[in-house]
Amino acid sequence: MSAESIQSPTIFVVDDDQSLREALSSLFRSVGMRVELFASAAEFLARKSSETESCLVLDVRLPGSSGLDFQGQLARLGNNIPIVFMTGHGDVPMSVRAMKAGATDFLIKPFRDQDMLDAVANALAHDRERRKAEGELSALMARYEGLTARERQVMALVTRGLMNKQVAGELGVSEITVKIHRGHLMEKMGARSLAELVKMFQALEPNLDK
Amino acid sequence: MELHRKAPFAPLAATAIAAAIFAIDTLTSFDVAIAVLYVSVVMLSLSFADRRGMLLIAAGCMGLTLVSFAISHGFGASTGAYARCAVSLAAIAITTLLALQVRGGIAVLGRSEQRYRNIFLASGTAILEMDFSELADALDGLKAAGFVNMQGLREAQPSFVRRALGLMRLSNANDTTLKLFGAASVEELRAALPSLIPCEVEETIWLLLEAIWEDRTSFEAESSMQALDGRRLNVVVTVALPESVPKLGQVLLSIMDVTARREAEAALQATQTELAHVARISTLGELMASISHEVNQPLAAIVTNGQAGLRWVSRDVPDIAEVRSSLERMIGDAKRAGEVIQRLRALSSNSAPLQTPVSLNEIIEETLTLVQREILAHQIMLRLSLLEDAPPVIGDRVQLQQVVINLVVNAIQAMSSVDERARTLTLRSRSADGMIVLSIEDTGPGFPGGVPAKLFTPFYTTKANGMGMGLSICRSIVDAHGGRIRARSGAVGGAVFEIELPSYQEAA
Repeated sequence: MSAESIQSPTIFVVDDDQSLREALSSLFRSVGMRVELFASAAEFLARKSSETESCLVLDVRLPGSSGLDFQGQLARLGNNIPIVFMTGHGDVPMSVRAMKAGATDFLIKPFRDQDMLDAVANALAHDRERRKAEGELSALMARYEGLTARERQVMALVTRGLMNKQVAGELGVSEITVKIHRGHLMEKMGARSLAELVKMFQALEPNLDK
Repeated sequence: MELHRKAPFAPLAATAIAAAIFAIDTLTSFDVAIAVLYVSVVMLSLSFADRRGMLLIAAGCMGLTLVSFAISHGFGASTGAYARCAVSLAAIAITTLLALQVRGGIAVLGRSEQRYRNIFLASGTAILEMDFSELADALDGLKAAGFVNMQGLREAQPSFVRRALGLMRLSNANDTTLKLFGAASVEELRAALPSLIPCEVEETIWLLLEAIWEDRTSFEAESSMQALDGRRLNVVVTVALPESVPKLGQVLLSIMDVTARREAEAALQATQTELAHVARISTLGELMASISHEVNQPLAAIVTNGQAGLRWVSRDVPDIAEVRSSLERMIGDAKRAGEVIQRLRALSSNSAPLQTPVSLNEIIEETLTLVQREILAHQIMLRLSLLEDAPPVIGDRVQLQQVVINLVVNAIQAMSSVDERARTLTLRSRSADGMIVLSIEDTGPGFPGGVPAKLFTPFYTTKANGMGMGLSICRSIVDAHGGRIRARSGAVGGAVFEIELPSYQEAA
């Protein structure tokens, strides 16, 4: 696998019908997309998860386990790859379930090629955003990890809207000390204003242990 | 032989003879026992007197002997005369005893004759007494002319069959026969008989001629005949060819009218065919989701392949190789869809069952493609252990497929409620004693209380929405194919259905 191909987005197709699988491959390749084909969910799971932008095109009825079960299984494994479902018949309850579980689209076979390409483009955009958000969060986490325990305390209190004097009172230190900590942590976190710091803390908070 | 045909002159003759003997015995004195001649009177009495009458006549004859003796000899008779008298009396007594025995024998024969006549006349079976002696002579002539078998004769003289029909003479026929053919009298039937045998049953007549040719003593065939009013009759004809003089002078033909029975059978078969058809349609209905998927899948592939192909061809530099493979896949998919529809059309058709050699393995494969989706949807593992190069079975492909589909769908449905153990569907075939045995085993709930006795009877069902026709139709189809179907509990608790069908051995 070349360095270039790792970068380009990849579409994973899981369908037990070989001809349809190959037709989808042909369709995606005709617009310059990378495709990988799988006959079953198990085959897909055996592959190590993708580091690049990707999405999954999945038949609802699959040998072994249903597409919906597979969706749940992926979620439990922490794999949040966006899924475009395909089905042979318009089964409303099934499509509702899939969409609620986070599917980005639900197409009924036979579908228009443009609908499929749009659905895949949409799913890839989701994945891009997801990856970007995940990337930003992990950078933020890394910066947060660089703070001292005292700086973290100050950050928590400041972002709750407390004045420096109140923070000093809470922590039992002088106001000057609070100001110094606050200056350090703003710098370490790369926040240019209090508003920015509050936003960062909001993003971080659900991922903090204590 | 007929006992009741009384000869009115016999008593007169007997009386005259008795009187003559008495006169001679009394008036003459030859040294012979004239009275012995009374035995002729006793014998004559056989023809008109009953048992008691005969005894009375015998006693009378003895009395007359004694009277003659008394008149002609008085009490001074010689020893010879006494002896002659005693011999006469003994002769009369012995003759009487013998005559009585003969009389008893005649009575038995007469009763038997009467009984058989009654059977002949009153029987519900049409019985014809025929004289084939002229036919026997004709066949003997042909044998003498050098014909060795019926086959040779048939090739040389195909028209002989009609001539032979003309040589079969009707002697007598019972009332049932007349009623069956709508004839007013034996004479009318006799005149019409050759024309009542339609041309298409000549084959049967040839077989009868062969039986006669080979000196067999009986012949039976199912055939058709025509009544005098033109009705077509389906009949089973039994011909008894006993030894007699002249040869085949008394042939007994019994004809059983099976028209109504055949019609009922045909109607029953038509109903069963219709019922099987309805059941097939309803099974197809149950499989609708699978079937629509089976048709939709190739259609979706065709559409997607076509769209991809269009995109390849519309590129700045069209990629012909990609277009070609898209087109090739489209053709394959279209064929696939066509095959599915073909199979469905065959299954939903309502044609009369055919009898052709069919491969059970092929039937199983086709069935599995139809129910494949159900198997997947219910997460069932399929195990196949089929006899390779199995000989075909004779029967109707669609009906046999219906049986297999029914049993497989039953097995799938039975397992859909099972979660605590693996769902496995096993199809095995083997051959045994000229039969092919297919067993379909599931790991469903099976028969916890043993196999129900009414399992295969109509309207027996354990399904909430079941009609209870599936297994009964399976059984009637398998029966009609000369096979058997049975159910038992499986080794791991599921149900096993076995169908056994005679395998077809190609004629050498």
